[in-house]
Amino acid sequence: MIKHLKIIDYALTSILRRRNKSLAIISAFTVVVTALASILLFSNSLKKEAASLLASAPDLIVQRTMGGRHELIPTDYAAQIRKIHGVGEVNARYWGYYYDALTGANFTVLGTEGNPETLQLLEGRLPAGEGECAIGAGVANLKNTGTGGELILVDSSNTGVLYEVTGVFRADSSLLTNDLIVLSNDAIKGFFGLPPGKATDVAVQVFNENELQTVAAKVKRLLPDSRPITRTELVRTYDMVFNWRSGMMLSVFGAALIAFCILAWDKATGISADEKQEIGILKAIGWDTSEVLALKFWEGVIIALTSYLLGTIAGYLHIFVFNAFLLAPVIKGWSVVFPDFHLTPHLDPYLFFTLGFLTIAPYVASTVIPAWKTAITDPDTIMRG
Amino acid sequence: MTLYAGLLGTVVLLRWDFQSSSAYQLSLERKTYLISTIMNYVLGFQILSVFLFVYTAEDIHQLFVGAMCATGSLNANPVGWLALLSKIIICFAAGLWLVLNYLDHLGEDFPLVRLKYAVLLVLLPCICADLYLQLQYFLGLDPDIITSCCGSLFSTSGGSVASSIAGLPAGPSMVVFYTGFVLYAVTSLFGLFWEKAFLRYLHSSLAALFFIISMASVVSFISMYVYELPTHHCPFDMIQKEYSFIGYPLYATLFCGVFFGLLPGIFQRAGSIPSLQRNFRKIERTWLLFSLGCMTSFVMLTTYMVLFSNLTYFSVLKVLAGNTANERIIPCLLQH
Amino acid sequence: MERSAYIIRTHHVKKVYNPGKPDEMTALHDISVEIERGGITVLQGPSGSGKTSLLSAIGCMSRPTEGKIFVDGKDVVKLPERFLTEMRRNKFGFIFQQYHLIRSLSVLDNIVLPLCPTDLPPAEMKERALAVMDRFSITEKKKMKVKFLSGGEQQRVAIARALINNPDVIIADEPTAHLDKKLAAEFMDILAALCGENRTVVIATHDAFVYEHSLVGKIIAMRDGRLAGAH
Ligand SMILES: Nc1ncnc2c1ncn2[C@@H]1O[C@H](COP(=O)(O)OP(=O)(O)OP(=O)(O)O)[C@@H](O)[C@H]1O
Ligand SMILES: [Mg+2]
Repeated sequence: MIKHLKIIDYALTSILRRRNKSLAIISAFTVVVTALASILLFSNSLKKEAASLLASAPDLIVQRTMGGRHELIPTDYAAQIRKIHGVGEVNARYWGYYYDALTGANFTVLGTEGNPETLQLLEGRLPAGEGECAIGAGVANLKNTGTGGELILVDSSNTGVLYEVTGVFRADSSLLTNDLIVLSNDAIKGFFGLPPGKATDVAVQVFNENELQTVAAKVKRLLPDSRPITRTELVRTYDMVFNWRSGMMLSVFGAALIAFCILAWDKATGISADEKQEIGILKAIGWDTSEVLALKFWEGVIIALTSYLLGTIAGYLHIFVFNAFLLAPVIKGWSVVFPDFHLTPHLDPYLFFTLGFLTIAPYVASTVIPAWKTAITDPDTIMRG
Repeated sequence: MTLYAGLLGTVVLLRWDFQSSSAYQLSLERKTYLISTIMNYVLGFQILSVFLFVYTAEDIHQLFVGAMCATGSLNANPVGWLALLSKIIICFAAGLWLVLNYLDHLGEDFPLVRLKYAVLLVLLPCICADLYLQLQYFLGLDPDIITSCCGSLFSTSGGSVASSIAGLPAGPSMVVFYTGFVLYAVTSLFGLFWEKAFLRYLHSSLAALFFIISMASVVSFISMYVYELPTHHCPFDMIQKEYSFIGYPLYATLFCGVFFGLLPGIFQRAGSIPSLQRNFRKIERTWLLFSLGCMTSFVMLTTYMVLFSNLTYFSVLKVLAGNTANERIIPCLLQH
Repeated sequence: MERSAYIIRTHHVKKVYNPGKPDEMTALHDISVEIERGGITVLQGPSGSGKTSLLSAIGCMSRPTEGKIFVDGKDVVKLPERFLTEMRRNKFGFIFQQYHLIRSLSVLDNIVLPLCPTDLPPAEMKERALAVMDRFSITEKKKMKVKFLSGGEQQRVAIARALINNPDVIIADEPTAHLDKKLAAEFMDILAALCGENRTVVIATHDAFVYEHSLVGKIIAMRDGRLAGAH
């Protein structure tokens, strides 16, 4: 035990003695870790936000499909669904997308009847009458308005409609409310020109989570042209979408990491004459091959651990303090309405563990063979200058 | 890397000639350092990967409809059970190899070198197979599968092996468990003072037996006290945060205890190798003490949970007798 | 193990460098020598006669191609590397021609280096180092980097390092090559003092000042890898 502590101590001093070389490796490694950490943290917090939003999503959403496409659903379907055993509240929902020609941005427009779950995200209040709206922070920014201000949108009959902004979503997790415009249900029907008696979809509350699948099956049987989507399905779809994205990024940076490892390997295999001499001295005065290997192992661990810590801290700051300014354009390329947003910082030990594993292990492993090559230096060699 | 080690291992196995002092023999001898190091990494990784595997299975259960813990994730693709089993076996085998390597290093004439590399060559395909199983498992996962979880697998009323273990009556299995431990502890203590071979074999067999008893006990009654729920028998739920990760120390102490308990018997023959004799007895004592320490911690942890659980044995009896009107149990049932 | 009068015995030792290659070179032919416990033994011979090769074989640094070497009655030729290391660590102290200190480390760190891979507590390690440093009056230089020391000081650090593990045998290869007359005389005095502590000293040299020194007990003369008759 003491022996290993002393070897670690010696490893530390030898890293410090070779300051330039160590610094070069640590900085290169830190950059790789920062990139990896940023991506993992970013996609993970997107996932978390999506999940937290979906947690308040309805248990079951029923859409109508026609010709395989999403179609408006008759509101009297809601009454039929309500009759199914185990079903609680059933609400028709009205929502759609709005393209703002002026700014070139796409907004999500949602109708509401004072849904209490979304209330907590709001600063100000939800729209009560036809001429009122609540908007996300991104929309407010883009349209240069705020609580008490005004918002002009062009409706389906191509006339400008003026809404009074009664509230702005300023939740910490603004990514998913950012492009949102909330109108009252009556207002949105007029705005989109929805035919009477039709809604976008129907939200269904199911009392017992275990019965979700049964209820969904019953809905499908009752209304053959409908498509019920359970919340768990939604969560999974989001999960997979984000996983796919982060997987793509991961593989890109995995390749970068491997490239780095090869570099490290290359660097470390070319043992300098100085180093070789030092190892020879150590062996001659009573260090064993296994002890030199331990020394090299600890050197690797110290370098990798330092880079890992620096890299994760940098990644964390990048994502949560500097709002992912480097990554945001890459991941959110599909939308213009993300001028700025704050992700909620959260620490997932599993993520940090995975990251540590992905970075420290390959580095230390890639130093095995070079370390061994150094360690078998014949002590005899230093007998001749 | 593993393959490279395997290749080197083969070369060493074939060309090893300790009597020769040729440069080739010297280079082989030096390669053994490399193999040892690589294998230390690989096998250390294997041991870590058991933990990772279980944790990941636990973590992904939300992807599956009907899964509430690792059991559900494993059920989602039955290869998972095979992968878990192979992981545990390899974990033990890897540990054994490391011990073999350690012993070999103690002797001045490489007493175990051939055996060591022969075992390594057997171990390597196993590691590859394990990797393959693991890949199969993760690639074969389909989120659309509706799995059944621990509630059904470890339910007391079912035909499977798992449920028949879960159905073991708590009282008698507790008696068997504690008797097993006392027996084990006594043999350990005897083993510390008498270095008889048969005691070693007995000790190791008891360790293996106690492992089986303990695993059965975890399912049949320990789980019950952890969850404070007389009907819940899942061995995986206890590694969840809700139960303050109690499963990790529980399994870690048990596995360590059993592992070190097995060693004296398995390596009994190594003790008679002349170049090892000097150190072997001392090491063996350490194993015995360590094993006993781990086992005792395990049993103490269990006892602690049994004693300080909100679930009393009395209420268990009541439930088993069909009286479910216990106000403490009902909310638990609903919660799950 | 019987405690013979000889601490080291070589038995028909042969050393071939690069065997089987075009640059094959036999550095030692059939060398059988005995080195007595305590006292100074000198290996003497011209350059290239195999002194260093023999020293490194008896110092458990390299393995001879053939023959046996007994250190304290134990044959070390067939030992695995880690046991050779153990021998080096416990039995031998080495003083090299070029000192072979680690130049970017401080004097103290250099001296404790042999004890680093042992379970000795750091405090005790330091205590021992201070004791030997005191003996060679380099204590006030303990924090100084070795590269700033003078040649004589470096040699004393090297000697201190060789003594830190309290070795039975001290092996010195051309120790006086870089020293002037006065320092060489001082060095011989130090060796004499070490012999007084019942340590064995083996020196390889072609410096007449050393092998003609009054304290030298036995001279082993070598020519072209062979013994040229022991005196
Ligand atoms: N690694 C090696 N490979 C090949 N030949 C070697 C090697 N080391 C030493 N030799 C040869 O072995 C012979 C003996 O060398 P050695 O160093 O033992 O001589 P020495 O007596 O110590 O000489 P010096 O007084 O110059 O130090 C020399 O001819 C040398 O060239
Ligand atoms: Mg020489």
